[in-house]
Amino acid sequence: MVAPGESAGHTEDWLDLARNLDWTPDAVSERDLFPAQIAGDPWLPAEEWAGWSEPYRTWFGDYVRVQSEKETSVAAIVEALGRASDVSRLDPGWLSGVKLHAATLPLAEFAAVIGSLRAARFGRHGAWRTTALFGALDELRHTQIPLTMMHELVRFDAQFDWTHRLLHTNNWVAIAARHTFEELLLCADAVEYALATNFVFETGFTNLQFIGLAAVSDQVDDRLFETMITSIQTDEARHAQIGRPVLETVVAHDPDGAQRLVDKWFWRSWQLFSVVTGFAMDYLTPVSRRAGSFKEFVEEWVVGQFLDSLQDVGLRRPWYWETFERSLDHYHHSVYASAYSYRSTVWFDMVLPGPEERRWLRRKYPDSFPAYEPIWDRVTELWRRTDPGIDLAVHGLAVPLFCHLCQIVLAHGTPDGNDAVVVHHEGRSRIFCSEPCRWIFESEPERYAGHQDIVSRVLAGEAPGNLVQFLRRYCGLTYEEWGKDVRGGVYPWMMAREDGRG
Amino acid sequence: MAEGPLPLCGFVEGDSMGVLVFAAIDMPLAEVARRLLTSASVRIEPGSPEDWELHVAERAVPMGTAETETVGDAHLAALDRIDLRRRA
Repeated sequence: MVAPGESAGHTEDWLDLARNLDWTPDAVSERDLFPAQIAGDPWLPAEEWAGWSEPYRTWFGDYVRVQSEKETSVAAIVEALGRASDVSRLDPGWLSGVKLHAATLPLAEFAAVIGSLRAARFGRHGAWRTTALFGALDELRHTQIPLTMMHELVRFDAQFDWTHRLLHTNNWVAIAARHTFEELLLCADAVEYALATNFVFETGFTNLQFIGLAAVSDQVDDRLFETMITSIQTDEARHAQIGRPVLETVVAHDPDGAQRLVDKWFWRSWQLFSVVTGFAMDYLTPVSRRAGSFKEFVEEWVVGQFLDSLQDVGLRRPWYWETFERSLDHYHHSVYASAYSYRSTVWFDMVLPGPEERRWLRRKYPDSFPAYEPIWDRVTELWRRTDPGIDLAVHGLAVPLFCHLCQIVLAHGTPDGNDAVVVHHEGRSRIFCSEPCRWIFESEPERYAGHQDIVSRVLAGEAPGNLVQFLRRYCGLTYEEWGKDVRGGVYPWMMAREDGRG
Repeated sequence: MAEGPLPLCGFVEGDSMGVLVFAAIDMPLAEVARRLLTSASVRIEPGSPEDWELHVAERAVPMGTAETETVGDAHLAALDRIDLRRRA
């Protein structure tokens, strides 16, 4: 046994024995050892996976040494900058973005421990299983870091308590997040997990989060958040490498199946990131500190690289690409405007875009943002008519509609034409936000049909239709925690009677 | 569900999202339209009801007609989609 930091001699002499230990089963068949239901489709004999490899080729001692160094760095930053007094100097809008990310991140990462461990047992190559085991340890670390960092801040602001609470509640964001994460991380077999999580989610999207958002963190001087996500990113970059070689093998034997999984998980991942990261980059970050627009980051870090990767392995761009490109201009604006008008249903505060923000958004989104300006004109006018801090006077009271697949509000399309579509399936009507969500449902109705969306829960009497009861009794939000306008509707530009359009 | 108020999926032109609207079977479509407009009014300047027309299954129902035509007359069922669009 070589301890961390000790010389391991000529690593190449024994590396493959350490990271790719495998054997030929003789007591059970290969199919029994790796059942298709959990190892994944297409089921292939071991020789078809024999060429599997990934570029990091890490072994346990090296893994422990590197991770230990990372933990030391993170601990030093937490010690130096992790107190409430350090965080309270940050912009309140930015802190709302931190609360949003902090709550959606750690317990999803914990679910990813399960998915990674499934691959560590049922992956079809020894090196795949070893890399997945390190991935499981990574994901445990990604659970612990935000929980540790944000716990200290609960005494400063009760909304930070949702870092741990969110996914245990019936909050609509939690329902949407669970619907995605439980399928992605808890229910997927080893092949689907590698394609969906390692290739699409981590290779395709997390650069947006961990590099794009890290750049924004730097701009707002939030070293704590920047340290957290950059440290996590170094792990993601390693275990994401599982995805590509699995995809290449699947494409060689079942290209249509590979295309279907990539199309499905690109859409589901896109929905999630456009809400979480789109809100933070284009609305919650102070306009003077923005590094670029969400669309610019997506085009740089997602679109170009992802399409190149697909082409490299012989796959096409997803069939709904035109819908995706339109949603890149519209979707997060639409969900943000909707969520702002129901901000008491979330655990973070929201920013009303004023003249400066709206000028920036018009410049970055000339083909779409003007369609949302009448909504912000209306919200601004309602704030002017009411007293400061009376959030519910500028708030929706009707029950919002949610997509039966993604569980997010019906906000696809444009303000001139919402894309929602009603589908009749086995005697029941269901509404979907978009054609891709409808396609995902109709591809596997038995997988999704039993899920109760929020509207179904309200109609069945399980969830109250009254907003305040819904917040308190069903979502578990108290008045201190539920989202409000970050400035109570009091903005200097509004007091000056400046037109929000600027 | 069929005996109680009918839940409908309502969309208003210019809005960012859809909302649930409950309608009795004998309710005039104009009343459904007014409720939908009220539900969206935190985001949409409602203006005058005459500025709008209701679209049921791709059929435009002018507000004058909608005062006499009911939800039942329009054969609306639970979770059917209705749209309120600005008159051209």
